[in-house]
Amino acid sequence: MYGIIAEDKSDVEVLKVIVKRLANNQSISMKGKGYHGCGEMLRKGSSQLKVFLKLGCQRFIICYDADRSSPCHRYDEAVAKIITPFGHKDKYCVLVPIQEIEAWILADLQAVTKIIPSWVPTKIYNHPESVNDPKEALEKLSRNTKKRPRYSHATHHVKIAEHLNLSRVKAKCKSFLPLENLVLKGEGNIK
Amino acid sequence: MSDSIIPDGIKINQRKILVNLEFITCDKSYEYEVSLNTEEKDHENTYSLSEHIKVNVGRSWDTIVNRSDTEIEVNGLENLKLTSGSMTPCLAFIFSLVSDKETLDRLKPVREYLKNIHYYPIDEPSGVKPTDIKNFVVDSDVYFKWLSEFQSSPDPECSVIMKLIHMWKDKEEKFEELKSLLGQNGLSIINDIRIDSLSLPHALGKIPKEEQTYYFVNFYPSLESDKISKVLRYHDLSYGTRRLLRMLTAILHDESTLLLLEQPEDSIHSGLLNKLVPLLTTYVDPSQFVVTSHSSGIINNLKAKDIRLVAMKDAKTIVRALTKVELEVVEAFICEEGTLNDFLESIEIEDV
Repeated sequence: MYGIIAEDKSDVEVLKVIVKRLANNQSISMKGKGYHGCGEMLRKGSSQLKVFLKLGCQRFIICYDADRSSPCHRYDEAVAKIITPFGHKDKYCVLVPIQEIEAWILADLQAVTKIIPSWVPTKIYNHPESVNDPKEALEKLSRNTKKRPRYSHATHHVKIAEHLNLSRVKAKCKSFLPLENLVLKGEGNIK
Repeated sequence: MSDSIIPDGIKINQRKILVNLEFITCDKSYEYEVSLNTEEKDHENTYSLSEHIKVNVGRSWDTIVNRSDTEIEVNGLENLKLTSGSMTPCLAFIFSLVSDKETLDRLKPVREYLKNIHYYPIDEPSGVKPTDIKNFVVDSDVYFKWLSEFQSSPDPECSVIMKLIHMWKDKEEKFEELKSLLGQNGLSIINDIRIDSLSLPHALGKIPKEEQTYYFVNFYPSLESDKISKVLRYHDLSYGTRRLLRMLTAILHDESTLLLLEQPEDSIHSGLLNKLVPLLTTYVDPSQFVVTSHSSGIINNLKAKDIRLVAMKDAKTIVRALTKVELEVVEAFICEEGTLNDFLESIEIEDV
């Protein structure tokens, strides 16, 4: 069973979809908690993981957006404020999407057509993790190209995740690797 | 901006009520100001209106229209003296009397903007009960009468069912967009909305006519694909679902310049609120939303710069944005301590 915490509820939902797809098992049991921002997650994340442990979770994912900060700094902060107070280091994956998890959608933007048929992207992002504010970039792209309905991350992100080419995401987003290693090999990334 | 101003129906405790609105439309900035002045004479209240409309040109403001009580002056039409009733709305009056195209073209963006400011209250429209048969079988005569009234004087509170039929008949793209937002690739609330029409050679129970058309509005809730989807009528939907349907229909159908939404969180599941607020944000531009809320679920999905604090003090309403210092502090607070709502609970509106 997996326990997932993230800054945003929609990020939790996306990660649930991707973990099940990576494991090729739709029946995996998962618990998740999305917060309203990183502050709340850093303050409450540790006690939430204790709850997940009591509920039987054996693998844990902490998703903390790098935004425009250094991914290493974010990683260290998550370890210091969430994992260290809890004390368990096995089977943990601290995921630090660069800059936001929406970069994974930009890695395979063609997947949006499965959910918003009128949107057939022509641009290919070879370095999606270099795009500033990818969430906003996606919504702006949808708005400026007058796609209907307009893309909204909280509504559409999890639907698109079901159609992402995960090999393409892995090839373009190095932040994806720790998640794949945890799911496929059972390896955490806590030093 | 309204069809009429009826001060007698309003208790006025102050000698002067002033509303000043600045807005941008068609790439220009405008200012619209209206003030209602009251005077007591011989134990009776008398009222007078003042209005002006200005457009920003560089660093200054040009007056387009100036009204003082019954006298209206229009820039560019100095030879024309307009005298209106004391409570006659200015713009409606000008458009009904002035034929100068240049003047009307200058005022049209203002009129369109103000005309499409819509208020959406919490409650369902009082004249329509969900169980009203008109909500699932609509006589085409009733529909076309509604359409005629709506096109001349749109009432944002009017029937959702009529708006859905209108979209189905005349705004197909918007109808499909609505269904997409509600369906399995969107909020997963209503899988499909189907509107069927049936023409009968004679009207049932009425004077016989050549043909009478009826519209049937059916809702199919989101279910797993291997289950047979049950058909629901409007009144079968939960209050929260009807509320959501009203909001999204309003956004797509009404083409408002400014939507005033009252407590959108009412009767909406907290999980759905996390999707609804970002969705509303996506549909900003060209529309603007002003939302009242008491809900942390709404507030925590917004940016601090978009929050306005409202309080009542000494019988007056105070409204303010967060100060520059508060905006700096809250950004760090959200990154390190808690949520936007947590922060707002700790400050006072009077702290300026």
